[in-house]
Amino acid sequence: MTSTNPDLLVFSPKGIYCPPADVYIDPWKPVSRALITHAHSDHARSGHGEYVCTPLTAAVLKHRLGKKIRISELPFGQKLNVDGVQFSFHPAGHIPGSAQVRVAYRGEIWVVTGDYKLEPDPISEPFESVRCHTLITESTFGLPVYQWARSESVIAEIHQWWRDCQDEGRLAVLAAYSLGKAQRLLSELDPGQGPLFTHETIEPVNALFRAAGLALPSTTTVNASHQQTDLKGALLIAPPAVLNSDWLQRMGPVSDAMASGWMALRGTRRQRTSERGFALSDHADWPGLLNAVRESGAQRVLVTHGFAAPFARYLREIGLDARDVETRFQGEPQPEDTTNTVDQINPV
Amino acid sequence: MRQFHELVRQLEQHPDGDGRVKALIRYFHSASDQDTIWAIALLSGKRPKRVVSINQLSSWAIEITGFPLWLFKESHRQVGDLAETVARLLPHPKSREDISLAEWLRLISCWGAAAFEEQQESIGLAWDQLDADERYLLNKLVSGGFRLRVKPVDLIQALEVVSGVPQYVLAIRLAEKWHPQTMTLKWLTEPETPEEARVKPMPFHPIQTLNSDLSSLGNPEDWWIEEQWEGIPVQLIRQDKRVYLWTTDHQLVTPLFPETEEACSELPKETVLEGILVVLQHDKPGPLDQIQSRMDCQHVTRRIIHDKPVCFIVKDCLVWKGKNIRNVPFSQRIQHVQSICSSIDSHFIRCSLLKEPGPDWTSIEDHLAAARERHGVGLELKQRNGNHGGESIADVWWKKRVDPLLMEMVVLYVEWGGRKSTGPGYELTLGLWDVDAFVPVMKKAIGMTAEDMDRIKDHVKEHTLERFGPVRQVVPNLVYTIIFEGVNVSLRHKSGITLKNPRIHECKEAMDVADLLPLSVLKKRFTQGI
Ligand SMILES: [Zn+2]
Ligand SMILES: [Zn+2]
Repeated sequence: MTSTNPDLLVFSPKGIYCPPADVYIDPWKPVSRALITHAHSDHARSGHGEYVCTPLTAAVLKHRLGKKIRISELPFGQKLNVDGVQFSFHPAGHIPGSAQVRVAYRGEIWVVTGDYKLEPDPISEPFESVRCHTLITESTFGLPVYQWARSESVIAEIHQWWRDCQDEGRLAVLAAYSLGKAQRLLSELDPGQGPLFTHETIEPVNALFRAAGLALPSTTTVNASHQQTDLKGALLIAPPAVLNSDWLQRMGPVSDAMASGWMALRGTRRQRTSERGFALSDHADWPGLLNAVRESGAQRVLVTHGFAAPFARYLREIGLDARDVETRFQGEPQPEDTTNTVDQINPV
Repeated sequence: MRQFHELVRQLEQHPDGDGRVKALIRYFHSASDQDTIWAIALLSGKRPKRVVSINQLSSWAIEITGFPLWLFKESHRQVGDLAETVARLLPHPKSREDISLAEWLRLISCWGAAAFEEQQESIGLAWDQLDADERYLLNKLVSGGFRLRVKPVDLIQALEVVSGVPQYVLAIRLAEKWHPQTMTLKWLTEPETPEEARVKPMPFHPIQTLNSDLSSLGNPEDWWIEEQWEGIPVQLIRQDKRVYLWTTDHQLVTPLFPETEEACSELPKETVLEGILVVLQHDKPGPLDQIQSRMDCQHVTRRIIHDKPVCFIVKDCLVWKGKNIRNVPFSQRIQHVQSICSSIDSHFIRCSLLKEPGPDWTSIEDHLAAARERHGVGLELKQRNGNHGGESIADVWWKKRVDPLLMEMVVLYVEWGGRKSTGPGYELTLGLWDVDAFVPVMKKAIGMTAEDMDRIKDHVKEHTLERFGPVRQVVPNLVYTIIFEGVNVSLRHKSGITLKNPRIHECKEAMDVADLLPLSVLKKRFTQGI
């Protein structure tokens, strides 16, 4: 499709802005009305006048930002009309409730992907390709060296590691971000292999997801009264910041691992202090990004966070009108920045 | 290749002995005989000949993927390793086949003899059967870049567990010249032969640390007193036409020390000596790290022998011309040692320096206190009438180290770090005055008492000057006493020295940094004669 209106969405200092509707998408500065793709903190910041998001994202936002925020729920596929601009949410497959935003105005269609992933998982609504003239896509893993193995094989590796930990009498501690990755792991791990424990920062999101009808296995929240013996044979899911805490020391011998797309590279795995790295990502890999761009039919592509410059350059070389745009989204936070991740947590 | 990749992953995960041995045992249990032999070969440094360069592999990968060169470069910048970049750029394999390690290596050796186009085609086909991790290994193997090594002692320990063949036998067989294509696991793990049994190392004589005063040992005239050097204890067995040099953990290290082998080739047959290996510096035994670095040299060149000549300091004779003399009193055994050393005209073997006991313990104490000036680390004391390897109290050998040195230093940098070996904790960089500024002298993790933790936490909170990643530069006003055993000259360090075995002793809270002794005093006082 060929674009006629180059300015339906613009990149303003506050974030992605739609002038005819006076609405922002995932803005990073306080605005009066914000469409939120998903509840990760680099996309959903505090201080907006009104939040518009999917019902599940709304539930998580109330938990994260407080019950007092003003939220309008917009279920997937339903239309919201603002001054002649039509907005709708479409599944992004990144985490449960995560959406792409479709913006239509006078026959012109733009899509903002937010964060997305093409491979389905048991709990996220599967990614839906949306046709458009202009696509604003993320590019967290926008280099061809990022090609994910099928998640079954990564999950099988995690199970093997867990079994080894059980044989060696060590507690398996798997670091994962508390919103999304942690629940996806829970939904894919086999509760028959041993007890599943979670860190206290993860359980509130589990509760919200369970209330929304998502199938998560039963978990126990680890607390100060738990002894080493209570966690025998268990797998504990905890946010990355917990890995280096004194708290873990009390739990006897542990083996720590990290599940993240960054773990695909040997160098990144080695830099980490954790023993194991599993390349399991909630973002599209290189073939996924290319697929999404192709399927959208967009002639014009604006590339944001990640390897935006090389990905945009490659798209230009294969004949698209593409450029990279600087934003403040983080994509999948690199495991080493513990200062500014989606989880601001205090270890128990 | 899948199994081998899993082994490599586990070895990379465990840089230390125990985890590595476990990983090897797991692999040996599940791998075929030929794969086991190849894994032993690769991990002990027998690499296949390079088939193509890594740059050639890169250009083939670019050709296959059709990616522009700039994108390849961008990817390489992110990955940091060409073999891995190539492995990950290529599309997922169309059909993944699990071909054994031995078969891959057979193929690789065929490719070596093939024409260029054939190489390109074969490697392209291979890439299409392997996942990225396995491809990475293949790329390393065909381009001669496979560098992962395992200590022989770990390999042999694991092989003993799975085969039941004693470690020393495995060590002897693996020290032969062998090629993985002709070596068989059956031969490697056959029961020991009588010839091998004759060169089996004997138990080393234990040596214990004396914590009480020298005078507690009774009559000084009952004791032989020797210098204590830092070195690698070895047993040298001269049997038939060959020399076998064993370490305490049954490594056969003869090929690493050709100068020792040559010097001992004139020894009477069927002789067993015990002693230590040291590197000579200005004809004196050098520090421990020197001989350790020689142990790590797999290919000993003439240059290495020239720069770091190794001397075998003989301390005891266990078998003399076929006669086991371990039950002969030490005072007689040591005479054999002396006659052997005086009969061999070589720098590379010498007798342990003997000190006739002084008239009393006081003069021996003085001798001990001056050990550092003689480049020793203390004294060894041996009963004149003791047996070798005996278990009675009369057979005990004692070592007494010279007292450690003390020096106050100031904390310059603090780093919070989680080390796998020591657990999370602080690492301090301490330094001394060098004219009018502080220069770092040592870096060391501090013991984790709650008091130390709090003190450093507070110090960092109040006195941080600048941050460099995880490192904080702090106001230099926190002083600790450092215990160390000596000073080595090191041109690689800004201070020009390194400390031997330094430990952070105690905090000197009341001490003013203006009163710290300068670096020049440390150098002058403790590096004499080096
Ligand atoms: Zn996200
Ligand atoms: Zn993001």
